[in-house]
Amino acid sequence: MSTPVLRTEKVTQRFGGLVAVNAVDMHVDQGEIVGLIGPNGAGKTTLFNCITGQYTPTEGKIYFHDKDITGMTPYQITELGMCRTFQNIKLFPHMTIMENAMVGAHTRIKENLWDVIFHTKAYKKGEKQAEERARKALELTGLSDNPYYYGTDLPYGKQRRLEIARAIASDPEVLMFDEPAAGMNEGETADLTEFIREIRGLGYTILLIEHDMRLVMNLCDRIYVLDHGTLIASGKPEEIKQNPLVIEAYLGKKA
Amino acid sequence: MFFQQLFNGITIGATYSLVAVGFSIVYSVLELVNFAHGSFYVLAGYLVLTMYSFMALPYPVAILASLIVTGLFGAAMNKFLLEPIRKKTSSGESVMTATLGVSTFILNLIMVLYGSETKPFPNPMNLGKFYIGSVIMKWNQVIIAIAAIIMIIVMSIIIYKTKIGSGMRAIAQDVSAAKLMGVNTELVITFAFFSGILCAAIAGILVAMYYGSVDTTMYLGVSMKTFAAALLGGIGSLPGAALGGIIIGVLEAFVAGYISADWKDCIAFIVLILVLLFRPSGLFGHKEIKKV
Amino acid sequence: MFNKITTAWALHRRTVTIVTLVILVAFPFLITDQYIVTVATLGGVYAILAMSLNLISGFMGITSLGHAAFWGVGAYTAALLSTKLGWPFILTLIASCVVALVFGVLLGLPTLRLSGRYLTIVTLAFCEIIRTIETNWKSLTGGATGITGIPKPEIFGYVFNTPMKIYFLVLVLCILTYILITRLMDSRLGRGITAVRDDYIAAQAMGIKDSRYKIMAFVISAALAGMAGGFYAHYMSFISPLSFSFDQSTLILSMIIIGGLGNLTGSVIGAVLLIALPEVLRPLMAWRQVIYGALLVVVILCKPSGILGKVNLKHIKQRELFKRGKEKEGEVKA
Repeated sequence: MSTPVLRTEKVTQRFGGLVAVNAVDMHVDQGEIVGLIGPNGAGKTTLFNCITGQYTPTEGKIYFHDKDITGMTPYQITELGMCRTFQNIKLFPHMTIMENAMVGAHTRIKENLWDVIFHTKAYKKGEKQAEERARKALELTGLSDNPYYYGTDLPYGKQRRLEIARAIASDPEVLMFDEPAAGMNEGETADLTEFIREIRGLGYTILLIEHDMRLVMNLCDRIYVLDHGTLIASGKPEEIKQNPLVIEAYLGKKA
Repeated sequence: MFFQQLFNGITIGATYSLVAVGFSIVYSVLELVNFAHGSFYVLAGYLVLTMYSFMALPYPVAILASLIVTGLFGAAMNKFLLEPIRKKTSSGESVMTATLGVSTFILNLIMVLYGSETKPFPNPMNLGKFYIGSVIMKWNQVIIAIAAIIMIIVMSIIIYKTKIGSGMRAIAQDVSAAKLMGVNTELVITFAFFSGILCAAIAGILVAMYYGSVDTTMYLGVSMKTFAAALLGGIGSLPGAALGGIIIGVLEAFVAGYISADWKDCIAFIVLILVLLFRPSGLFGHKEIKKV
Repeated sequence: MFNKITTAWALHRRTVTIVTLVILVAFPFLITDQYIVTVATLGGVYAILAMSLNLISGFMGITSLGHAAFWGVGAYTAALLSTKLGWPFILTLIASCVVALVFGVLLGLPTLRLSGRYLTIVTLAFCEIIRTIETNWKSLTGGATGITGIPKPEIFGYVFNTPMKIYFLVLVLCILTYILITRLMDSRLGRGITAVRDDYIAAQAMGIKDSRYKIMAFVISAALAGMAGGFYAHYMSFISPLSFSFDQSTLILSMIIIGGLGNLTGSVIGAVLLIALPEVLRPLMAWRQVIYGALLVVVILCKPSGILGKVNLKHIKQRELFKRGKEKEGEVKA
């Protein structure tokens, strides 16, 4: 068995006296779509932020392949090949759709101050590469119709796609989506589910946090369930649906 | 020598505190660095001069009228200039530049009308001085320090105990949430300007009484030291701003007394930078938590 | 109306640039009054200052009130090196940049992590500290009276000794500054700068080292202000701390806000306007500054984001060309 792409080992995050994430062990294998679910305040986003480098976990280790990435900064983690989107979409408002996607390619092109000022070959090559990568990502996400409008002028669903395009342009191995269906209606969510499945077909490994049960159950190969910062269940969607602990913690509340 | 400098420092520091508290009140509701703040401090002094010396109003009436006019002026600046700008743009820089324009306008208007030379400021209450040990204390100094401290206490009561004060604190935390909770945000902001600028006006008059003169160059030194005092304490914290003012007043007195008066004016800024290196949100400020 | 003008401008940018350059070159020949040429030169100095401040305050989003300090550091460097050590103009100009850059690093490294308004006040504090040093370190800086007898600019024996010659020198420096910042912003580095300003958390998540971009923009901005200072010292032939006070910082900031944050052409327009305005208002004597203050407020009231604040010619051009390309495709198919 090959080593997982991403693995956490007893990751704990405390804020003052509050334990937001408590000794969580999880892993994501090559080519999987893994879901992370749990009721509000379960610590999903906190765990996510530990993995993406926004927080440094109080205890525990995080590995990307065999590399210990605990405590690395977000930009180092992106450079290694993991890129995220945000629950409340974070596009760059003063950039066009194209430029937003070109920022994604930031770590994959090389231009230094000298190149930029004197327009050297390296600059021209870098700009061409950035544009090509961006164009590809935009085509993939269906956004190539006049990409010179501002990203924030797009309708909501397309803004989400642009965020994903931006992440794809960074050429990641793992894509991490923070509640990708947040704020979407049923039709948009169905489109998104289909779209994420397509992306996986291209060889990306995907980890996502989600509230929308239908999306998670339809899409994920495996699911982890967090409650009060602790992992209470993991397994295939069918298993999770049957798990009494999950029903009590999560679904049970509705009944 | 030491105690004399300490006493002088606390006296002038108390007036810095008062200006800084006023500045902090406006800052906390809008995150606005109000460059016109110090010009109202100067304006109040000149208004007293006009009403007492030229219009021959009784001294207390002149002071009271000057305070009210200056406060209303500040409120009007917000209502008729800054509020329309805020409605058109979210750029805080534009609003800040507008306050720069206002302060240029006020200061130069004063210079045109009164001339740029220093004017004697009337103070009919010449109460003499007394000694504690070898420290000379003028009654004026004592009154100024006490008046400033009382005003700071009054302001704190307004902000922490009254309804409009809780409105201010709500806006400081989250404007849209405050609006949803039924706070009349624009009214509260205008009141913040009125009360904040009132603080500056009181301090301006106290300082004019202390030195027995007014001039427009008072503006620059005081407004910049005020920013430094407010930041030193941690913007948004009234006790912080008050303490920041005292610290700066005392440090200045010591620098002037033991090193050289030449370097007095920049000690505030050196201390500010040093403090912020170790406590990026000032002595009493809260650390901002970044949300993802 | 405004949109039509900017669209036309965006599509014919090269023509507009060439026409502007021709006007700028012809200008001193058409004007008989040498005083106006001198004022225009001062406008050029401020244009460099405004463009460089725009890099840090407009493009990078860090409102700085310390720009005059870097300008002053550059000016004093050039003044001291040329009067005390007899260095030639080119070398003092480079030294001005380098010294201002070093000051930029010294201020920026520890303070750039501070949040928004704190940083603004720290830059103000820096400006005051530098001015106090300039005023009080009398043995080096000559105190409040400043330094006199700084030689006119001279390059390989060619002395810029008339207002017109100096005007052309500053014009060249302005154009170099414009090209430098334009090229910087139109690149991977520029996208990094914009991304950090727009949303630093998202920028980090895209692999952008935000602190590095902040310090880069800050230092380049400081160096350019230093260059403006070096030129200014030789052009005025005397300098004093008064020229580099906090008032000057706010003046430069007003220029870029009136021109529009994040628009270089706007900065130049802002600089020219705010330098020309007091001259135009000169007959009003003492009322001049009063009206100046009022006008500043009125302009912001009418156009809060500045004259060209929301205009990005590159974006407009790309968008229009794409639209036209699509339309042509459609015609061919039809």
